[in-house]
Amino acid sequence: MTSRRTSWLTACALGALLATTPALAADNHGGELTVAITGETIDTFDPLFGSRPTTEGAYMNLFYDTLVRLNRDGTYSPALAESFEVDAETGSMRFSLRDGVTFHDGTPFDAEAAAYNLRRAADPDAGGRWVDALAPISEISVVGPMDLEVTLENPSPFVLFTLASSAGMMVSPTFIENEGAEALGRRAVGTGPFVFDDIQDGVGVDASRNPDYWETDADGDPLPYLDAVTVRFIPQSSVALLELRAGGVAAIQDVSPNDFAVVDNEDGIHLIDTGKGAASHINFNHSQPPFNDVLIRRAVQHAIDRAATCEAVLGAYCAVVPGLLGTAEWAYTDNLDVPGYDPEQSCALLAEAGVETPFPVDLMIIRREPDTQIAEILQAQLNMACFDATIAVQERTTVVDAMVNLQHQFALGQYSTSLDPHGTIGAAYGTGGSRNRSGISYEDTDALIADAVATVDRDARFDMYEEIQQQAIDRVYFGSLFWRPRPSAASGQIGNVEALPLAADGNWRIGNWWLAD
Amino acid sequence: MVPFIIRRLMEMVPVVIVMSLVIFFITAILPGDVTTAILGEDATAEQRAQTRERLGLDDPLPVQYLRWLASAATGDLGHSLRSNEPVFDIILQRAPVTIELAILSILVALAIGIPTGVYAAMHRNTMADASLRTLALAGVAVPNFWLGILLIILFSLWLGWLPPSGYRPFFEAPLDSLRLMILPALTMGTGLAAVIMRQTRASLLEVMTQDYVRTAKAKGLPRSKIVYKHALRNGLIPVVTVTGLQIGALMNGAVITEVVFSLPGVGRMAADAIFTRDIPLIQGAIVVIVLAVLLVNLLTDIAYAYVNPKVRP
Repeated sequence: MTSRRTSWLTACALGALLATTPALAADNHGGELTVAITGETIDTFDPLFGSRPTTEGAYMNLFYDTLVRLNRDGTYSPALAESFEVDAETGSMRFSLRDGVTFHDGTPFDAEAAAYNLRRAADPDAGGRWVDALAPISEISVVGPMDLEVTLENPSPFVLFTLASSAGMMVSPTFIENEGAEALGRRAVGTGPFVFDDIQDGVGVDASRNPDYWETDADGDPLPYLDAVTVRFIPQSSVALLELRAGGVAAIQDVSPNDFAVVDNEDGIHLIDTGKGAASHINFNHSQPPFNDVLIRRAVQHAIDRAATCEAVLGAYCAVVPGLLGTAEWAYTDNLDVPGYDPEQSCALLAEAGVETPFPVDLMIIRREPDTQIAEILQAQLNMACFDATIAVQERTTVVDAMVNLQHQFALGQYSTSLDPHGTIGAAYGTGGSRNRSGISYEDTDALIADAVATVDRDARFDMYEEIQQQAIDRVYFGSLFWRPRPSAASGQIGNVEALPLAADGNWRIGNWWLAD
Repeated sequence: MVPFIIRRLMEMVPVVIVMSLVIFFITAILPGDVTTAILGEDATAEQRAQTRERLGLDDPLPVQYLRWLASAATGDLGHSLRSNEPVFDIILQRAPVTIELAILSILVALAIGIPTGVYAAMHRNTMADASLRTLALAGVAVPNFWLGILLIILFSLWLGWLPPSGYRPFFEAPLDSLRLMILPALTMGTGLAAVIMRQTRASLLEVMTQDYVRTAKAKGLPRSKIVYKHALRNGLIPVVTVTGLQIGALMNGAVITEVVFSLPGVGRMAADAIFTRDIPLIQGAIVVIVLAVLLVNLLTDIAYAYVNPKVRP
């Protein structure tokens, strides 16, 4: 495949890796660190599966690398691919892979291994979660021992974006062939900075330094700095914070909004802006009454004082957004016309819809914070605007099942940040989208989504996503609320805690952390 | 006694079967299934359907249950739908944690409950007695999760004496293991201590009115000797019974305590399995928990029969 012009992605490739690697202090090598993730256990070490795609990077980045890495500004840096080119017209990609890299089991990393992993990720029979995102791939070819080509049927920048996520994490083909992919449920074998040692169910994962790791820091010294890492599973975020404050762990993944100020103001621990966040919103069921009526959806939107709700829940950390995108995302725009807080207009819309007031509605929420707090505030606001709102609190599986099967009226939801808008907007607003749990289906929106994901030019994509978001607001696909940050917290045990190395998606890059003196 | 024990052991079997049947069908009719835990919330309907078919979740419920029962009868409790690990292995890994927690909690409860109950009985209707009874009421009323967090804040954060959470296997690092279990055992043992304290006080007061105790007083024996050598022995008989019967309630507390203190026990495993609808794991947990409760009740009855020959079968 001959490129007609060099993609802008290639031009950014070489310098960005150095830019993301911190300057080395005196002697940072050595030591062991314990961190904590909130949850029961790790679902799986198979990058193609798992129920926590936005947070699993915290431990998956220990063991795996991708061909390229996404930067916060949307550019890409080399990783296992030493260089790469993207044809701007066809979207096809060519990767020149880094020589001398081996998997943790000694298997050499080469074009065959890379092709094996990408084919597995794109294979519908493998049942992985990235199949739809990689559907534009028509062929994966090994064109040299360390050269790989990925051919697309039509251009889609979302494919490269997906390959920079866990879809592109390289697992040892030898391990899969010998042990079966199911074995990845309890063990990781990649090329990452740490080697998997052990997992104790309900306790944690132990990992030790990969002595043959390919990456070096800005001074050319080998990474990772640490000798060993333990990832503990702590089910309760409040207990995880106590562990951090007591010095039992050096970092925790999630901080409850109620604790933001506590962490921010306490000496010795730091609230880490990961750039991650979640768009809290109201998820209407468009497939049945009452919210198949746009007037009633609009009435709900007018009944909600988003600024007041946001401030009550998040205080100084609040960000009212018009849609599902966070302020740091490149497709974010506030040039959108969002219905304002107007309870009288809400009542008028209900009258126009011909329903009796107070109009009974049932808001379903997952039993978690801050959803219960948000729901109570919304209930009060709705009841002041001619609604009679009740709250149905359920556990997560029940709510997800109800929403997937469109059995809810409306529900409180939160969508985590995806650094490509297709991962959020396309998934939420497109007919059959993976996050469309509302029955939303509009031809013009679908057409725009299809065009946007197939357009390479970012400015053009921006305009399309702006148009889609305005459609979403006008038709009230979702009830906009606010964007809530999802910071981590870390202690002074980590030497570079003040500029903690993170991946573009906000997940930890523990391979670049070192212990404080 | 032996025929009694054998009969009781055989009676456990139908109890376990009935419980497993009830729990299976309750779980099966709950909304949602394990595909959310396996694939995440963003999975498509096709992916969920593919996974459900692979796991046999589309088979009729009676077929699923009988398949599990037939397998369980041979000792195979099946595989976790989520992790594909054998359920038996998972439980074997987790059971020692809960057993250690339960034993330590009972020891804490007895160590607190009996002496305070005796003291309250011997100082009946004094301020001390009233205070202890009020504390006992508080101990029963205070929720486990709240008490656990309070203890962590006090002993881990403020005083820095104990670690907030975590687990080390006892036979791997006994001292570390016990140190990590102090707060969880206190959390779980407090409620039981309150019950034991109240029972000890009540039964001791009753025993102190018996003729043989009056005789001992009349003979001029010291009060402490009357209480500790003569009265307490009989006064503790109901305490043994109550303690044994509380084991079931202790398992409830274990779920919450294990979650708060990040202990990888059976209780926490069962709770997570329920939330993720991992049916084989739920069934396995129920079998183990029910058997444990029944066995403890049997041991309690045996102990009771030992100390009170009048009730021996």
